[in-house]
Amino acid sequence: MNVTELFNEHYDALFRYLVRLTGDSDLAADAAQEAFVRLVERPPADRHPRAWLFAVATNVVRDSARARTRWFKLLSASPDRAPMGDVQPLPDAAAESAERKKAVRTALDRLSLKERTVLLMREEGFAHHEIAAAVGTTTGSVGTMLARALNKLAAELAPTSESLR
Amino acid sequence: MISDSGPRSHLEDGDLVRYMDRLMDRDEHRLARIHVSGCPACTSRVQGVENGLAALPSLLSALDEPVSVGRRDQALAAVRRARYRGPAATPFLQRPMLQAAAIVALLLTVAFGTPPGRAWVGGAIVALSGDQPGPFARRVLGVLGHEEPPVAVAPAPAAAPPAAKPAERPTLPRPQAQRQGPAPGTSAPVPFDPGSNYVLVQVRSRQRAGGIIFTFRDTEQAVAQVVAGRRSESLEPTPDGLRVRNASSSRADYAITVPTRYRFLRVRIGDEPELRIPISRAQHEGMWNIGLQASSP
Repeated sequence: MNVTELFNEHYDALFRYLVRLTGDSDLAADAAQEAFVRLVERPPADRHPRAWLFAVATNVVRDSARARTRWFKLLSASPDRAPMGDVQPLPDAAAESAERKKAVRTALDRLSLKERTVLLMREEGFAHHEIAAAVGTTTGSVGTMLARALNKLAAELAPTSESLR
Repeated sequence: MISDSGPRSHLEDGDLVRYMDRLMDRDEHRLARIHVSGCPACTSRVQGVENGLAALPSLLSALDEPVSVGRRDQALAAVRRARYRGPAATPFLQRPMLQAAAIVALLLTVAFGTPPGRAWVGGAIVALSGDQPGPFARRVLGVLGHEEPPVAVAPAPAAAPPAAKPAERPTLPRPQAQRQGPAPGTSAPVPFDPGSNYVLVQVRSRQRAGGIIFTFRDTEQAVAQVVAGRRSESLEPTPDGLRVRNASSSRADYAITVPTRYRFLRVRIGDEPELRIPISRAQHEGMWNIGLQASSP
């Protein structure tokens, strides 16, 4: 399968996963592009391309998160330099959707990056061993991490109308 | 893992997911199924995880954003411009040969690079080769700094056991003294080799019977081994230190590692007065002659 076919087949799912993982569509697009470029430059010899793409994109996000942490620390030291935009008022339906989105986003962000990765990759249909390879853990501990992530998510969403149970 | 053997044990969180995803082997799954079917708590937990996983798609879809056509085209163009550079690098610790090499290097470093490691390897070699080690074993013992025990020992005069010698600074070079072996009833010079955090004390016992007591307050911090000999010798840890007990006509070499945070090592041989040997990290090597003739069996 050539790279254009792989791109067409997997880009949208990868982008969706990354948006869910990061809450940042720009970062998601960057990470997805970087993963595909690396797939061309240094293709994996012994792993399924889809699992490899998701794992590499997750690493890109993790590295980017570290860089952004440093950046935010710099900004918080000099808040005048932070780029700011105007907040636009939202219509009711959009406000409700935004409220729901915000609640889920907040709950997801309370999970560690590993827990989020496990949860979201499971949702994308990956096997435990593929998830383990992406987060750098053992296959046996994926189930534990997934259960822990679900419990945390349920606890975070319990006071709202969203519920996992 | 199931937290306890048998079908009555509760499933741990990870097992719930493995059970639901059918990742357990057949027997494990059967046990889990029997348990879940008869356990309301676990049934409820399985249901909770199932509900959670079932609710995820709708929850997560709230976060989805449309793919930007512009960004997608931009990414595809970047991918088409990219060129093959070589296979993906395997992380260092995922290469089996490098893993094995790293483990071997670590073991060799520990075995030959630290006094306790050298003492242990020396002891193991002597234990395996007995009192007559072969040429290779002798060479390895030489590398480790262990002299092979002399083949024969001149018997000590039974009627006149010499008195213990007081501690004194040695004047003889150590290799020559060790090769010649001590007179019956005495030890060779006791070398002290300070390492980074410990001092290796090597004692060559030539007594007919009796015991030596090495006293330091924290016995678990020190390591002692018989590195040559092994004829009814014993090393007994005591609350105050270490007791070395020799049998009649015994010949044994001991390697004792003491942390350098101790300022003194107290040695008492049989009923003789206690010998107090200072330990100094700055001192690169010191040697002492101590008597090992015991007056009591």
